[in-house]
Amino acid sequence: MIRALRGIDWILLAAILCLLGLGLITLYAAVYQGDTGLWKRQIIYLGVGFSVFLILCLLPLRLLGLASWPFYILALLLLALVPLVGDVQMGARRWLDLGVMNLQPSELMKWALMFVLANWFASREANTLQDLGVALALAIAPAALIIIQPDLGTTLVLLFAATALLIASGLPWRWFGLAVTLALASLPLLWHFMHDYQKQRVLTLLDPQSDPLGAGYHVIQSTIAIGSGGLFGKGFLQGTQGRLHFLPEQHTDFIFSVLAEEGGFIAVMFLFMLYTILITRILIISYRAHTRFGSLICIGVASVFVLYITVNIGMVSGLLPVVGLPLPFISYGGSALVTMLAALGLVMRVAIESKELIPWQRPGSPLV
Amino acid sequence: MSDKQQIFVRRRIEAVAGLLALGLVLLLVRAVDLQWLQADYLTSLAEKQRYRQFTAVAPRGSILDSKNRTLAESVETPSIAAMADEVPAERMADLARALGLPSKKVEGKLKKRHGFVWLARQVPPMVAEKVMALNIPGVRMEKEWRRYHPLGPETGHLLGFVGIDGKGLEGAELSWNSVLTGESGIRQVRRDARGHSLPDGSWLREPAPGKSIKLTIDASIQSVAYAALADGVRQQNAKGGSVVVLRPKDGAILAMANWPGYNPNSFRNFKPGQWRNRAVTDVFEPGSTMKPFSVAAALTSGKWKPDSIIYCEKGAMQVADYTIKDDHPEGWLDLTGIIVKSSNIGVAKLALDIGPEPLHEMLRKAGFGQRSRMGLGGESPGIVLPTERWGPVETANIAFGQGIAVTPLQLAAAFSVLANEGLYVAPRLLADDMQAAQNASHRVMQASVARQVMSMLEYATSADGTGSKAVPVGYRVAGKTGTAQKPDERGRYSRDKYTAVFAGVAPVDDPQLVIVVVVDEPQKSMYGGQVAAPIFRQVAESALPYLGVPAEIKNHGPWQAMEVAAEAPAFEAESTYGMSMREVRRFAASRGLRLHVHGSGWVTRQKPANVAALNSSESLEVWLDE
Repeated sequence: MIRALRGIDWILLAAILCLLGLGLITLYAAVYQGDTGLWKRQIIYLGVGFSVFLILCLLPLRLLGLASWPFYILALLLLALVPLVGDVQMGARRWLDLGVMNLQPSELMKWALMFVLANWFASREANTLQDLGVALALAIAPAALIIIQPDLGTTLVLLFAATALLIASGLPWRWFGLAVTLALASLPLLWHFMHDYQKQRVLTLLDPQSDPLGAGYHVIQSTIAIGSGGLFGKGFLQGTQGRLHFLPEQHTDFIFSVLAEEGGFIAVMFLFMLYTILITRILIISYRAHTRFGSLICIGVASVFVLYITVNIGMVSGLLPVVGLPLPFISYGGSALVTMLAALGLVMRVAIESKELIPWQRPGSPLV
Repeated sequence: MSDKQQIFVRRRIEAVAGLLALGLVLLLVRAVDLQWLQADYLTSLAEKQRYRQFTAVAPRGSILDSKNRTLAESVETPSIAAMADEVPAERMADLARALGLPSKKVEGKLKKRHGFVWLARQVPPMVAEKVMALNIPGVRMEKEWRRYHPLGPETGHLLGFVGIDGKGLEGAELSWNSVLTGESGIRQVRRDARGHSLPDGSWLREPAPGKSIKLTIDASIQSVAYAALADGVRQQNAKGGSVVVLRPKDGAILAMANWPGYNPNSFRNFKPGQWRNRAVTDVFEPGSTMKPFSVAAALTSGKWKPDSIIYCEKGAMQVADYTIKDDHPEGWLDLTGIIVKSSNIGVAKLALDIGPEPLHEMLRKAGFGQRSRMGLGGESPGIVLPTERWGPVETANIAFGQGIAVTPLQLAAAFSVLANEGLYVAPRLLADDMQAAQNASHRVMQASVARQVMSMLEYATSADGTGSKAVPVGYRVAGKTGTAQKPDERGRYSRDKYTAVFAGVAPVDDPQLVIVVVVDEPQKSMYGGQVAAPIFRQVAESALPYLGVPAEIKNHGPWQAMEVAAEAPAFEAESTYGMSMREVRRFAASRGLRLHVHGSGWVTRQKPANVAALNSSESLEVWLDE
C-alpha cells in the first residue's frame, strides 16, 4: 500500500483532480438555473468513480490482464442485450436500466476493447494476418452491435481507438495505409447506409446556415456562445446564451460552450492545458512502462481520451458532425465518469508498477 | 521486454502521440479562430438574437383651446402584435378567439409573413389582458397612442384627425403635425430562445412626447357656434353651412364650424368629402354682404358722402346688355338706404361711377382673392378676377357680390376690418403666434369711412333692415345679409339653389365678435335675413355674455329704472297694438322680455295675446305693418 503510494504519478493525479474540479464548476454553471440536483448527483458519481480509481490502483496489473477477457465478454453480452431490453432515449436504444443508474454498455465496451486488445498484443506483434484477424474480430463484433443502436459516433471512436492501439502494437505502416485507403473508398457505401438524421448532421456541418432553426441550430448556437465568450469570457454564471436557453444540451454534450462562454479563451486554454498534461502524462507512463501490456493499455486509454475530446469539442465548435460524445470529466454523466476514472486507475497502476519493480517483474522472472 | 522490443514500442508510442497531438492542435486552432478572430462577429450575433429592439411611439402633443381646455389628446391604448415565426401553430386558434377575430385571418397573417406583424391595433384593454394571459410565445402587447377629440364633431373639421400611425392627416393635426409629433424612442429588451421577453429593458433612446399647441379657439364658443349652425341648417333643410367667429382686434379665430360635421374619433365612418373644412376650403358668392365694401370704396374715393343720394331706377337698370334688378323697387336712397334696403342698382351705380380700380383695390386690401395663411391647409384663395377683365357688367355685379367668390373666413376677416376702424388683421389660429399677427396688419380704409359703414350696417339690422333677426336683445349689431344664387353645373345661375349669408359685428360700440354665417341651399327661405341671421343671433346671444360683454339694458340698469318709472303708465297696457317699433322695444326692455319683431310700421299682431301675464325673459313676438 505504502509502496504503491510511493509509486503514484502525482502529476497525473493532480491533472485528474484539476479536471474534475473544473468539471464540477462548469457543470454548476450549466445547471444552476435549472436542476441543481444533477450537480449533486455528479458529485456522488465522482465519489464512486474515484473509489474505483483507487481500488484499481491497488490491484496488480497482471491480475487485471487476466480479467480482460471476462470483462470483454461481459461488455459484449450487455451490448447484445441492449437491442432486446434497452431503454430508448432520444430515438436510440443505448442504455440499460440497472435500477440505480442507467448503464451505457457501449461506454464499457470502449475500455473493454482497449483492455482485451492490449492483452492480446502484450505477447505478440500486430504483423501477422492471423493475430491481426483475431484483433479485428474483437473490434468489429462490438462495433457492429453499437452501430445498430444506432450510435455512429461511438462506433467510430471504437474503431479509431482500436486503430491507434494496432499502430502501437506494431501494425506495419503499409497495412495501415491500405486500411485507410479502403476506409475512404467505402465512405460512399457508408453514406448509403447512414440514417437520414446522420446524413443531415454531416450536411449541416458542411453548411450550418442552410437551416439555422433546424438541424444547424445547435451548432450555430454553440459557436455563437463560444465566440461571444471572447478572450476573457463573460464571467462565472454570467453567460447569456446558456442562461436564455439558446444553448442546447448545455450540461451534457454541449457543456464546452458554457465553459467557453463564461471563461473565454483563457478558460479554454486552461482546459486544453490540463488535457495536454493528462495525455502527455499517460503517454510518458506508457513510454516508461516495464511491460508491453501496461504500455499498450496506456496508449489505448490516451487514444480514447483524445478521441473523446476532439470529437466533442470539434462537434461543439462546428468542426465535426454532431455525435453524442461527452467531454471527459466536464460533461454530466455517471457511466462515462466512472469508466474514465477506472481507466485512469489502470494507467496509474501501470505507473506504480513501473516505478518499483514487483518481485515477479524483476529481470529473470518467468512471468515477464 | 527486451531493449530492442522496447525501442520499437516507444517509437510506435511516439507515432500515436503525434497523431493524438494533431487532434488537440486542431482544437486549439479552432478555439483561436472562434474566440479570438471571430469573437466580435459572434458576440454581435449573440446580442442580435438576445436583444430585441422595439420602437416606442411617443405621445402626440395636445391641442388646447385659448383657455387651456383640451381639444385633442393622446390616450394610451394597447395593441396586439406578434413575431410571426415564433407563434406556435397550435396556439393560433386560441389567440384568434381571445382577439375576437376569425382564426383564418389570424393564421393568414402569421403564416404568410415573417417577423413583426400587427394582429389587432388599438384594442380595448380587456381584450389585450385576455390575450396576454394566454402567454403565447411571440405574442406581445404594444403601447400605442390613440388620438381622442373630446368635442367630437364640433371640432371635427377644424382639428382634423390622426391616422393609426400617429400622423396628422387633416386639419390642425396635419398643419402642425411636426410640432405635435413626438420623437419615438427605442427600447432594448432581452429575450430568451423561446421568445419570452425578460422584464429588464433599457432605453436606447427615450421617447420624447410631442409639443402641445394652443389655439385661439374658445371651446365654449365653438360648441355654441356648432349647435346654432346645426339648429339653423336643420330648420331650413339646408345642404350644409359654415360659421366663423373672429375676434376683430387680433384676428383670433374663436370658432370655426361646419355642418354637417363628422366625428374625428371615428373618421373612417365618413367619406373623405365630409372631412373638408369648408369654412376655409370652399368658396361661395357673397352676394349683398359685399355691398359694405363697395360703399366703403365709394366713400374712400371722396366722390360720395354718406348722405349722397342715388336714384335706384325703380327696380331695374340696364347695364350694357344686362339688366340689374332689385327685389324691392326703390326710388331715391342715400348710401345708408342702399345698405339697409340692399339695393343692387344703388351699389352698381356707385361702382360704375368710381370705376373698377378703386373697388378692386378695396377688395384686395380687405383680403379677398388671397389666402389668409392662418395655418390650416387646403385654404382657398377665393376668386377675384383681375381688373382687366372687369367690364361694366362685371364691375356692377361684383359690387353686389356676384362674379366674386370668397371663403367664410375671408368674409369674416374683411368684416373685422370694418370693426377695427379700417385696419386689416390677418386671422390666426395659433394662440402664441403674436408676431405674425402684428406683421399681418395693414390699413384698408380710413377710420372715418369704417365708422360710417359700420353705422350703415347697424341700420341694416334695425327693425326695418334686412338683418333685424340677427340682433340679440340688449346688444347693438352691425351686419349685412346676403343671398346669392349658386351657379349650376353649366355655369349659369341656378333658379332654386341659393347661398344665404349673414356677416356681422357685435357689439357695435366695442366690437368683440365678427361672426359670419353661411347656409348652403336653404329650402324654406332663400334670404340671408331669414336663414343666416337667426344663427348669428343665437351665437352672439350666448357668446357675448360669456365674453363678459353685458347686455345694454343691464348696463344702464339704475338710469333706465328711473326712466321706466316716469313712463310707467304707458306700459300698463295689456297689449302692444298700435305701438311703434321704438315703443315696443322700450316696452319689452322694461319688462325684460325677449322681443322678436317682424316688419316695420306699427304693431298689428302680437303673440302671446295676453302680454301682461308675461314674465321677465319670456319672449314676445310682434308683427308690424304700415
